Amino acid sequence: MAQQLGRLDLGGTALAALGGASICMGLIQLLAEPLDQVASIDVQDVAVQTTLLTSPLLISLLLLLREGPRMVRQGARLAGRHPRWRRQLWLQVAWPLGLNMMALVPYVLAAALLAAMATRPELDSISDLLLLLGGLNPRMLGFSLVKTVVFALATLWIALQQGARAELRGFSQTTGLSRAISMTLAVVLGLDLLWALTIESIVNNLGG
Amino acid sequence: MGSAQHRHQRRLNPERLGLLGGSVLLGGLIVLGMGAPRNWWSNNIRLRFETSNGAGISPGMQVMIAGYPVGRVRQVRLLNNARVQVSLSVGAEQAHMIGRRSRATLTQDNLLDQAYIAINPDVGHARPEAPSGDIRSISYEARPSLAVLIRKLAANRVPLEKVITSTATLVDQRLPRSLDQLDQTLISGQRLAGSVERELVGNSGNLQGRVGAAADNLERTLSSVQSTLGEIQLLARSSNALLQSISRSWLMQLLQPTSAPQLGSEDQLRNKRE
Repeated sequence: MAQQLGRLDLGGTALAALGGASICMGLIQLLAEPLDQVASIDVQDVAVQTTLLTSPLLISLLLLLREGPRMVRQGARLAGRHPRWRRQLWLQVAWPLGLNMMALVPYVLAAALLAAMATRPELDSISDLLLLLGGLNPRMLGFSLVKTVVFALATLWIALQQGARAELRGFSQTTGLSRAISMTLAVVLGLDLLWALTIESIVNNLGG
Repeated sequence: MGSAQHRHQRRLNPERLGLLGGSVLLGGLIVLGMGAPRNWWSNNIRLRFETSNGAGISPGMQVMIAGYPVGRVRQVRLLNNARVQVSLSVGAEQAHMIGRRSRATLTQDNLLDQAYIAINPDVGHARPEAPSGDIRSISYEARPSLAVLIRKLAANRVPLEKVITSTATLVDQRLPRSLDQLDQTLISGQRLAGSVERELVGNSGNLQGRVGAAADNLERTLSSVQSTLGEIQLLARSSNALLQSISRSWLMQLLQPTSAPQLGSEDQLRNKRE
């Protein structure tokens, strides 16, 4: 049961790709129409990079929405046991879950690239694709992959924790899930902010 | 046993394997496309320059030759002597275009466009091939900043104002006067041309009359010369006839000496005279 948490399936992958395409398309429309810059590749470039930047948040949210009830239930089952059981479960699930969530990033990015190409008025899609790929920042891609794993593991830990807490205090699992969602959002957004303020600036300074 | 079987089934789940494979494939394609403009998959040469002002230069910035992207800015470092060292990575295929007279400049085509490092090509004076990994130095020409341009403009403002004022004075005062003088000159020139024309017309009439009279005189003289020549011709003919008749007369035959030879008489007479 625990191994089924955050498994990579077609539905989750399609949902992630759809989310990436929607975010990218929405950003392009948001930027292009008021600025009257439909033909400019820079708008698509910005939209794709923003989608890449937000992909860890998107994937964490999808994980929480799809696997949240199951994770809370797992946490509730381990409520009466020693906390090391929960830690053990977390460690057991962490690697496959992190790998599966990281595997979603290329799908999100590919969907964003396709959505960006679809908004181009010209038909020269291959050269547009190469331009967009060339505009991607490798460091940002690396950060997104690492952040996806970190956010997924944080989500898993919070959901397990809140499931156990609800069970111990006699709340329903729905309450635990609700609390897990709000807490995961706060933690993930806080981590993202902390990452931008500390890790990225440290790495940028080291890299020159 | 059950756990091992479950793990085995999970590992061999074709959906999961397919999705993981697809993810790896997409990731590979993304990295491949990302690395192409950065020359990750081709040989590169390293260029380096130092400048006292590295504002606007950042890692990842494009390097272009003749507007064509050939590389990227790899590193920007502040040295201990307060100068900024910039390292560039340029494709090895374009290395022959960078010679001794090549210069790197920070360029921005339009106000909203991204800035890039432009290298002017020097194909004729390409440097000899450097060993792999060797870093070449290149000159850098700093772009004048807006503040410098404003300072220069402020420094040139006073002389520029003087030039503009003197030009305005010239246009206001001297130019109308000069135009008036030019008008007067043109009018007097027109008058002069009229009088010259009239004079020419009068003189040409007189000249024509004189030439006509001279021609008449010449014609008359020629006719009289012709008649005189005719008379001279007639006179010469009659004289010739008279001389022939005299030479044939008996009196001349008598006067002709018989002993003297017929030929060479004139030579003898010339000798006697001498």
